[in-house]
Amino acid sequence: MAAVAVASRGFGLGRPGWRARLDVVRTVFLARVRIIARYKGAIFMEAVLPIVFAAMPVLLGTTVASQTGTDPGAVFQANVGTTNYKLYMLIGASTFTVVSLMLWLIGYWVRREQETGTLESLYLAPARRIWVLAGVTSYAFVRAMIAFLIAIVLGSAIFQVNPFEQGVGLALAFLAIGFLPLWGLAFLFGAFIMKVKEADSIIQVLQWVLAFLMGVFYPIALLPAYLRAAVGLFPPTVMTDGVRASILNLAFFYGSAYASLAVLFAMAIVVPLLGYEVFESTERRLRRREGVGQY
Amino acid sequence: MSFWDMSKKKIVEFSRYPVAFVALFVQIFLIIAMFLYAALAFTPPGAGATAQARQLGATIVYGFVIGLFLSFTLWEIGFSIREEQTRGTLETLYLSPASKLGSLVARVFAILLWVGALSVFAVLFVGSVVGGLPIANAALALVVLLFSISGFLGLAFIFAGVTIKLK
Repeated sequence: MAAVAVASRGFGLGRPGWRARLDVVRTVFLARVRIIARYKGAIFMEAVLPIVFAAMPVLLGTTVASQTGTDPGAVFQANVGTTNYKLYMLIGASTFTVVSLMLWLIGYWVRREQETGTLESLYLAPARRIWVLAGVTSYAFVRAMIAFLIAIVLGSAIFQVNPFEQGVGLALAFLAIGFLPLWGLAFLFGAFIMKVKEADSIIQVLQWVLAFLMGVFYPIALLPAYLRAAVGLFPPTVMTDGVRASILNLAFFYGSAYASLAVLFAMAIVVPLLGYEVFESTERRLRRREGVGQY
Repeated sequence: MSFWDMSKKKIVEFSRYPVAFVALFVQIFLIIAMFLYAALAFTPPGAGATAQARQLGATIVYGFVIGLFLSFTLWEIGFSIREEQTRGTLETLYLSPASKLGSLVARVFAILLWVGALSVFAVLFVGSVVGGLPIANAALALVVLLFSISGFLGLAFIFAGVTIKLK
């Protein structure tokens, strides 16, 4: 009887059940939380950064308008469709922080594990990568959400704007659905970092590529037509546009809230699957060649 | 002599990471493009390439150039000191007869040259977008820039001191 039990569970042949998988996610999540809890200043900085980012175009806009002797709100209304340019910038900068943090945290996690030499050890553990990644991405999600909420609340107080006047529920729906494709993008990003290795420079440049594509400080309608079509396929752009359009009562990128939600929902299904597939295939290729730990 | 050797060492280090150089180059243009578009949202529709647009482009790019020099001077020295501290080579460096001032300035010399080149490209880029930038007194602007860099170096030394102290 005992031999049967050992044969069925032991010698590394046992397959972890749901409880064990959840335990992997929970353990990885808690490990990351414990590490960041030692650096409280980092969380505060992440929350303050979007406010500083938003202040830059607000000051720039005010300067531009004062040079022309016009009201910045009125000109912004003519170009974008709302007079509330401060809230527009704050939402853009806060959403950008969420996207950027999700990608940074996954990218740097892969990189740090490579540098400290623990990535290969992780591959020897009897846990599937998807659950380890789920733990890391959940941690990134929670950390990004904390930064987002603090930035919105604190930023609203500083800029004296009210983000809770209308469309908060719809904005939250865009944010929630928008997180799923972000997970996929984070997997893609992790795969890219594993392959290319020069993580710092790539992360830095990609951060600004993202900001540019997402239209953090401007409506994507200002971009040339070909670029507009391309950025419409980028999930963070649809997410930012949806959140802004809901709260500021602006036109949605795909015509209506339903259409934008439907596109984001489709992205939420396709991108994580695609991202994980790319991550796994990159990983397989690297393991066959130089190994995942080489950097 | 030691200043040149230390600067050369930095250049050799940079040359080993060509992706970082290209990334920095691309990054600068993306940031400028983003702020130009942000400024467009505050420009009356159909304003086009007017004197006002040129003035606006100048406000953005000249401020941005000063910002570039400030951030690179400040961060590069601080990060470099911190890196030596973590590697354990800072104490060894202090035992050598090399000048401490030379050692600090050498950490930013190469990157400041690169930032200078970047700034020229940034000015040309914005100029081409807005149809030429107003340049009334370039010589005076360069003198102001040089004095500003000297001031930034002072701030960076303070920052480096704080980095050593706070870790």
